[in-house]
Amino acid sequence: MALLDLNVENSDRRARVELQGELDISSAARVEEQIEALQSEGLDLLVLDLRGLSFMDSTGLRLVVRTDEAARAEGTSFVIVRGPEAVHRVFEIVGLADRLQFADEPPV
Amino acid sequence: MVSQDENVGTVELLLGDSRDAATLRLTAGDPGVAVIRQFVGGMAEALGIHPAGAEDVKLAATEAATNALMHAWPDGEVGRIEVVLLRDSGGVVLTISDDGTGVTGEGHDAEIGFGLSLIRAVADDVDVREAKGGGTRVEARFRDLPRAEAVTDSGHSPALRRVLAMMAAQCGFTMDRLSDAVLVAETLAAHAGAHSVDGRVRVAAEDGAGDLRLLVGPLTRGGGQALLDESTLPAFGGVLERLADGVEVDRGIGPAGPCEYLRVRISSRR
Repeated sequence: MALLDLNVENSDRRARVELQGELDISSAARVEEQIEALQSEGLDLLVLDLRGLSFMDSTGLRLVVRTDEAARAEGTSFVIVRGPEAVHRVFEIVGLADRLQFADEPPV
Repeated sequence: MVSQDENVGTVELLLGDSRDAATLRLTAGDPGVAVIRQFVGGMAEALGIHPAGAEDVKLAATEAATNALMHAWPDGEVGRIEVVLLRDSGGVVLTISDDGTGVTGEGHDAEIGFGLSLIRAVADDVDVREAKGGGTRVEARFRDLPRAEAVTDSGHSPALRRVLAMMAAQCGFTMDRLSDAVLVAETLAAHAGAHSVDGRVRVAAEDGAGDLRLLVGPLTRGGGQALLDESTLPAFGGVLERLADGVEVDRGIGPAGPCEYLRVRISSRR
């Protein structure tokens, strides 16, 4: 059983990746493959929706940092929809909460 | 990275004679990290720690285990990870050790930096050193975890229940069978200690081919049957015989002489 569910909406160069469950070393590779595939198509906007996550660790942080670097290099806007407290505090602890673009809701 | 296998592998749970300490040993692999979190969550429940505090210990445990998975062993080698959680007068202590080649992780690269930063942020004291016999040992002390509002004295049952439920979920158990596995775990947690050679509950669990196979013991001579006899519910009968797909008592030789082991097999579906 997968501990992480992954939903992707993608149209008109705008993609939303929605994660539900636990993001750790056992699930990060699957997410990263999906995001890389989307980024390789060329995007104006990439939204990573963390509202459904119950757990995220440094594996998730590294995934987000790499995604952000790739988005900057390609000129893609990268927006993270803030997860619950247990998830968001992981960004805060390492000082990434101010360096990444967070939103409370997915941009329309 | 060590194992991309879907199986968790072999997990050994050693529950102390009080609920203040427990040990989990498991095959180092990515799916095992979720099992470690369940172990920590179960022990936190047993120790009366508030779920928010349990989240801190789970995060530290995940980071230490992930660090081991990424750096402790050369590619292709599979090792073991040991997790000890105990409570003493100074709080709760989490220790995670691996039997790898002893990279301490400190300053190894920027990526490990995130993991150690997170452990340092949630724990009060963190000590990273070489483990006995090589490998790395991370010890994190939590001095003041918030207490749960209501504590039920369920002994070690939560740790065993959650670990077995997570293993069962990962190897594709149906919901019915998952709840059977949970009941088997609670039965073992309640009764196995009384028949163990040293009062401790020891359960080794292995997943594979859609089955969960448990080895309980070493038990005293006659302890296997006595455990089965005690695990009965009114109007239901023997819990283990009814719910498991195979139950047998094996003779063995333990550290202190002849002993018995109880073997229990639970299938993912019936």
